[in-house]
Amino acid sequence: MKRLIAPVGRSRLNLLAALDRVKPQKLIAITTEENHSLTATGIKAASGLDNLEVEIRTLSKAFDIELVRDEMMDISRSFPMTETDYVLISGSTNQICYMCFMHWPGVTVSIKRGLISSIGEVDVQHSITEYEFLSIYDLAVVDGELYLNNGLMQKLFPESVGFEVDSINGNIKILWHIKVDDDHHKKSNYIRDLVAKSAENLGRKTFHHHVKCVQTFSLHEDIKDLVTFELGGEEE
Amino acid sequence: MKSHLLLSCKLPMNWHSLIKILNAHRPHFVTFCHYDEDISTKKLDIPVEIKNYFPKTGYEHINMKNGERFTVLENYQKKIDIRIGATFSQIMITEMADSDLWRYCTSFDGTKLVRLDDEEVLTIEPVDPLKLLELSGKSFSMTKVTKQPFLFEEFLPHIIDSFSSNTYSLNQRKLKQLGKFFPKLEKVLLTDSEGNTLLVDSRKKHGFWLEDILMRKMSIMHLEKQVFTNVTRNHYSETKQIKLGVKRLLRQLRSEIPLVKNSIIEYFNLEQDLLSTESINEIINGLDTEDFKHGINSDVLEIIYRAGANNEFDGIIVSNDGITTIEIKSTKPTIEQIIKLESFSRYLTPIKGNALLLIYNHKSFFPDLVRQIDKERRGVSLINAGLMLK
Repeated sequence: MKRLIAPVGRSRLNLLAALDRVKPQKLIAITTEENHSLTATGIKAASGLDNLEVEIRTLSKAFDIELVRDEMMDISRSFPMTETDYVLISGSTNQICYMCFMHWPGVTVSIKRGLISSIGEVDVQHSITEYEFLSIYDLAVVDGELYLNNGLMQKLFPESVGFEVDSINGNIKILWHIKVDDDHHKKSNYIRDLVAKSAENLGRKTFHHHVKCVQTFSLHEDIKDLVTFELGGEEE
Repeated sequence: MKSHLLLSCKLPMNWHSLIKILNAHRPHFVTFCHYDEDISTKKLDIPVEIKNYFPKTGYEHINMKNGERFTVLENYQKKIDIRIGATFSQIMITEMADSDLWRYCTSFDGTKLVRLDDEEVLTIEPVDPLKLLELSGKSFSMTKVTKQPFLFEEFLPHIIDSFSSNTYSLNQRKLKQLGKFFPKLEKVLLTDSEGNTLLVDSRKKHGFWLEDILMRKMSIMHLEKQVFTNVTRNHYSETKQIKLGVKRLLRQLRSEIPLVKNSIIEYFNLEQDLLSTESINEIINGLDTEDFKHGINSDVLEIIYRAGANNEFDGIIVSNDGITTIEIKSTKPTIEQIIKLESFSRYLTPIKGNALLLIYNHKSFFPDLVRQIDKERRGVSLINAGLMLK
C-alpha cells in the first residue's frame, strides 16, 4: 500500500500538493495540538482521492523537543516503516519533519515556493481550487468573505475587500484597500497586525496580502515578503 | 571522544540559536553545511566574541550544492543538531555521514540537549540572556536595579497625589520634604526607618518618578531574576550616537536637569537654553566628538550617550527562561498601542521578549481591554499602577 507520511503545520497547502503528487492510498498526517480543525473529512474532500485512508496523529507540544521525540517514537511503533513510504519534508517544524524522515526513511517529497513538488530531480507544479483551499482549512465563504467554519463563524480578515486563489503562486491573495478618507495610520496598523497574526496562526505561505493604497507603510522583517502594495489614487 | 558537530545552515547566520547549540554541545569542531549557489561572497566569519566564548572549537564551511563534503576527522564522534537549518540539507548531511552519526536537537530555550535516536537528555546551563545578546553582536545600555528592600509604605501615601485627575501624580513638595534633595540631578534620596534608600526623580513631568518607584518594586518582587531599567540599544557608531544625544538634549535643554544643562551651556558657550533648529544643526555639524568626550564631565557624557541610543524599554526582567519586557504608560493604553508594543517587543527588537508587562498610570481598571488581550491571545499582562503604589 502506497503511504504518505506528512507532517502538517499551519500551512496546509503543502499537504495538498504532496497528495496530488503521490496519490497515496493511505495518509498518516502528523500534526500538533496548536493546529486546530484538521479533519480526515476535510483532507479527503480537499484531496479528491475517494479511497484515501486518513490517519491523523496529534503531538502534544510542537516545541517541546523531548516530548516530540517520545511521541514520534510511539507513532512510528503504530505504523512501522514499509518499502512504499513517501515522506513529506516540507511542513510543520524542522524537528518534526526530520523525525518523520528518521522513522520513515522512504522517498522524500519536498514542496518549493509556488507549490512545486519535488521528488528526486523531478519537479511538478500544482494548482489549488477555492473548494480545496476551503475544505483543507475548514473555512466558509459568505458574501465574498472568509469565515472560520467553527460554529462561531468568525470573520478571518474583517475590513478586507475580498480574496482570490492565486494558483500561480500557490497561495490565497487577501485584498485590502486603504482609501484616501481612511485613517491611514490606524488602518495600516490594523492590516500589519492581521498579516502577522494570520501568518502565525494559519501559516506563512498560505496567504499573501495585496494592499491598494496611496502610500505604503513599513513592515517588520518577519512579514515583509507577505505584503505587496499597489499604489494608486481613488477610482472614479 | 572528541565531537564533530554538523550543522545545516542558512545565511545570514542565526547567531542567537547558534550560540545556544554551541553551548549545549561544546564541540571540538563544527562544519557549517550550506546549500547555496555561491558562499564565497557571503559573510561567513564567526564573530570574534563567539570564537572567544568557545575557544576550543574549530570551524569550517562547506557548500553541499557544489558537492563539497565535510572533513573526516579520525576519532571524532559525528553529531548533527537539527535546531537550525533546513530539513532537506539535514537529510543530505545524514546521508553523507552514513550510519556513524548521533542525532540531536537543542531545545529552543537552550536548556536541554535531546538525543533523537536514543533516550538521552542532557540538562544544559544556558548562556545568560544578556550575554547572548552581547555575543549576537547587539550592544545595549541599561541600569541594573538594586534588590535592596525598601519600606514604600512609609512614603507612598504621602508623595502620591491620588485625589485629583484620573491618574496618580507626584506631590513634589512632599517628596522634597521627606528626603534629601539633590538640585543638580533634580532627584530626592528617600531613606526608610531601616536605613534603606531609594532615589526618586522629583519632576512631575516625564513620569520618571513613577519608573523609579515601580522598577524598584519589580526588582524586589523578582528576587531570583535580574531587573534592569532604562534599556536602550546603542548605535554601531559611537560618534553618531553622541551627536544624536547632543542634538536631542539641545532640543529640550530648558527642561534638562541642571547638571546636564549647565555642562552643555558651558561647553558650547551658549547664551540661552532655547535654541533654533538652525543653531542646533550648526552645533552638531561642527561637533568634534573626540574633543567633546575629553572636554565634558564623564557623568554628563554617559547621559548624552544614553540619550543618543534607541529607546527600547522602560525595563526588562531577565532569567534563564528569557526576557520579559516592561513598558510604563502615563495614560490608558489603547488596543492599537498594545498590539504595536507587543509586536515591537516580540519581533522588532533584538531582545525578543517572551512577554510584555504593560503598567498604566490610571485610576480605572479596564476589564474590556484585558478581555480583548486574552481574546487575541496577546502575550501582554496589563497592570494598573495603583496596585503597585499601595
